[in-house]
Amino acid sequence: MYILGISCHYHDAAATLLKDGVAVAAADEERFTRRKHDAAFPERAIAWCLESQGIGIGDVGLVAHYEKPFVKFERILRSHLENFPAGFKTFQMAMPSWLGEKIRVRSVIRKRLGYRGDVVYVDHHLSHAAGAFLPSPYREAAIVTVDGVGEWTTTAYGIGRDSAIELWKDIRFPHSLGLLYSSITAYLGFTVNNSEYKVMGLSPYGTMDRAANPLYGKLRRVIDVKPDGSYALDMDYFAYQRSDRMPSESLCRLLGGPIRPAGDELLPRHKDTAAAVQMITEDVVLSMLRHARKETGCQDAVLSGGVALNSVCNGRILRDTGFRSVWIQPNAGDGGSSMGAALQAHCAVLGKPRVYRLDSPYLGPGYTPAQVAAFLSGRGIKHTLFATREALLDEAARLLQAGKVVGWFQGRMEWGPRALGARSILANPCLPDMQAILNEKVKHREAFRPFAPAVCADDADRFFECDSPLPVPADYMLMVYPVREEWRARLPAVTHVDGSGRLQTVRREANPLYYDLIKGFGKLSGIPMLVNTSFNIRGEPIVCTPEDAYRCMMGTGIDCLFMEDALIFREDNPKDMWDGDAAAAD
Amino acid sequence: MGIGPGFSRPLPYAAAAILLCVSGHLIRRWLGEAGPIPVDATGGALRKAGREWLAGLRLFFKGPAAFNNFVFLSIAYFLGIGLTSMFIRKAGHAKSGVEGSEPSHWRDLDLGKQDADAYYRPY
Repeated sequence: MYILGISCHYHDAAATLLKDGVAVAAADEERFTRRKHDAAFPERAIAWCLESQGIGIGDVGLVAHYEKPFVKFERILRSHLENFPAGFKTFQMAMPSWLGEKIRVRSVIRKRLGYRGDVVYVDHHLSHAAGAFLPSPYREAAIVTVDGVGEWTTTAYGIGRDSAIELWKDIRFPHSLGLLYSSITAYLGFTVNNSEYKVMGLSPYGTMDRAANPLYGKLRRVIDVKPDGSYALDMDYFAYQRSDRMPSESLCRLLGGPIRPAGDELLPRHKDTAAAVQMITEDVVLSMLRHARKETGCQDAVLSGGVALNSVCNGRILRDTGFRSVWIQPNAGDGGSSMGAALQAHCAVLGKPRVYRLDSPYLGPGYTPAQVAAFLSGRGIKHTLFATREALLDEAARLLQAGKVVGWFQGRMEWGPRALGARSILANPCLPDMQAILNEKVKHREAFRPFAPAVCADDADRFFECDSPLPVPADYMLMVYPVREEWRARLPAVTHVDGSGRLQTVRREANPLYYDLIKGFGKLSGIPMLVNTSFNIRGEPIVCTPEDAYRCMMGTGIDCLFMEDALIFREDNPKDMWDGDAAAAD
Repeated sequence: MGIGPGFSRPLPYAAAAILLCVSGHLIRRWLGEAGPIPVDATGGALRKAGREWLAGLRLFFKGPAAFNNFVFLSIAYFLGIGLTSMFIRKAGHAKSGVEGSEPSHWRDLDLGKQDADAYYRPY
């Protein structure tokens, strides 16, 4: 039986298809529409999921939606009742889409997909919890979910046992750690629901010392944190519950100035603000994890929600909470809830046992060498084909060693926001100017943001002070660890200002080609590690199709592209070059 | 048979239509909705031009639609939300808040124990 899980209408719309309880296809809508964080009904992602299995919508037995729309609508109405007349503008902004589509999920699914079967609704945080626990390797685990807001819940914890999940306690809107982080993101002039990771990247440039950071104490005034990790915000400092801006004037006064206009210089107080919110987030998340451990008595934890993508905080979990191990799914935000909703429908609605374990994040579209060859020939693109895998790996390692920026398009696309070696841009981490080259030629992103290192799992301990045994979320680029002191100067492109690295560990069983490439590069350079950054230009989603990948290479400074068994050089195809700099946007 | 006042005396009707559109687009700008409709750039020049023309047409009619929405939603807001809000305030219902003196901010949830039937409900 097929179950289709859907998340949409807020941000990061996505679809997941289960076959007899096993996820066989999953993708975010943005990859198909080419609109970053696309929130629209995931029609194209669903179409691809069905096509990948050679089925039609009539073959789907159940559709699971990732939240209860009426409950969320109730929260929106109640917020407006409480804040009347301040919410006039947000009422005008929200109602057309709510009355048009968001509240009529069942009819939208039926109309857009031609689906005639049952639709089930899984609470937002239950979807998060299911997306974290049900595909995890644990039979029993503590569950903690932290995000902006679902229906009412913003944070919850509970337990997962076998196929059952119980969320025991929650914290409700407007008190939200995710929205606190987003408010600071907005205050720092970055885009909400998109650039929170920039605040995380900026934080080490500020004072990461609670006593010495002048803004930490001030920001602590806006949040009351209890010893059990529960918290409440002082809503005088926030405007999101009544207007279309996040921080209130009071918060701006508290932090010593107005909202930073996008693109303006980042002053020391901005960096200290980023550091302060990062430290508070870590304090709260680690504290609630410790509480969840005490309450559940579990040795293992799963974490989900947008805040679970905070890899700096994740890197501290095992060290500071007493948990034996932790698991976070690669698409821990709202997109991953489509998988959670579908798995919860399988277990709780159909009453079937869980049979799926997420071992591979490569659940998206893939293209065979024949399909790639047909694309290249059809477009008249000059390319070289490799007869063997070994020849391809040798050439890729040689080009990387020579300092080339390499596009890497291999196998099925990743599930989640991180490029994990299927749609990646790869480079040599040992070159002192590689970070500047990548920023200048390809990514056009802020200079303060470092690039991520990809290292084979068996080499991770040599370069990083990581947990042992290595947690699986490191495979999904969800853990930040300190780079070992002796390697920092030799790995300038991937070492952050505080000496940390957001590594991706690669296990051969998960991605043998990528693993062998890193090892092959290591033989040439002496350091088996690569820079891995997402295959896109700023403002665009990660590439999905061969066309997207080729277009991205030709619009940027990527030197060459390995697409399945073909190698394409940018310089060989000058007719297709275009100005990617002009298209780059936040 | 006449063809209607809009054609026999077009000026006031044209002025009203323009006013409606301009107001609608100003409302859209205020709501942060302004901006072109994305157009699929694939296909030949003729197909692309057709898509752009349709997108322009859709954009044009978004003005009057935004104006109508604004009027109806304003009525709903001030009569529905406003009156209810005043009523619940008079009835003494405070805002959903939290007390700093409470030992914990966790609240009971008990989610996940519900029957399968509960999943079929959107509420």
